[in-house]
Amino acid sequence: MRIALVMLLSAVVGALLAGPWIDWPLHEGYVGVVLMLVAALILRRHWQRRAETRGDEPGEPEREVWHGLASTSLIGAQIATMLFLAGPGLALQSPQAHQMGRTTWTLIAGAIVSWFILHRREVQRDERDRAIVTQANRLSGHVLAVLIVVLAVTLGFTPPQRLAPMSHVFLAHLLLLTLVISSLVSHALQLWGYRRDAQSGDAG
Amino acid sequence: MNAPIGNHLRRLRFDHGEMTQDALARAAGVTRQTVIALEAGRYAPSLELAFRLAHVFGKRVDEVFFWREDEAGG
Repeated sequence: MRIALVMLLSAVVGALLAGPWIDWPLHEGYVGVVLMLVAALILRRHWQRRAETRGDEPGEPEREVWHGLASTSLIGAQIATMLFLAGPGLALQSPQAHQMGRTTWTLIAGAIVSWFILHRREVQRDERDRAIVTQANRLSGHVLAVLIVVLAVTLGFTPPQRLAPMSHVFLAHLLLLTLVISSLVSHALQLWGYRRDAQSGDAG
Repeated sequence: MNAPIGNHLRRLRFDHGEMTQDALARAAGVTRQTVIALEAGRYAPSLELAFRLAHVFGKRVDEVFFWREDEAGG
């Protein structure tokens, strides 16, 4: 439930940043960065408090996955929304593409900075973390394969006159979105794996 | 669902001067979250980790871990 909620909230923020519905006081990329940094600071404090009171805070690898899920979801939704609004004829040298690129790269920079906020020095990954990653990646690999096949078959069977308006930038971003979806599946499955193992312990 | 391999880690920790989960995790080279999952019976360790954990307490593997018939369905 929490996994779906984080994914959904991040996606909604990403879509709102990409759309024309809100007149942001700053460039939407900067708004996204500020939101990411504030969320990272709040989360770091929340996990710190959990470590001190209940001793059930997530470990370093799980924190990275939470961060990956939220940032991938936000950036993926931003790209998908901008792509949807721009339409299939999106040209590389157009104001829309430049706007999209600037926002996306600003958000990626924000994701990197927020990762450093959540990151602790002692990175430790053990066999359980590796097992969870392996299991999640195996399934997300299947999802990616299915998406690529569906996309390939769809493009292959689409009449040329309907394909013609689609620019190579649009198609490239469609391919990129299959990677984003596969990555989201991997992150969600990893978190589900951690959740399955989660059990409150003593704070020792 | 619990793993089919049970363990006496919690008892052994307390028998060893109330060793904390964190101390055991450091000694065995795993995260504290993995010790929590092991003690809760939600994670079955690899043979290597089982040996390392047993070594921390100076015990044999079969003195630390045991097979749970009910969970294994056997």
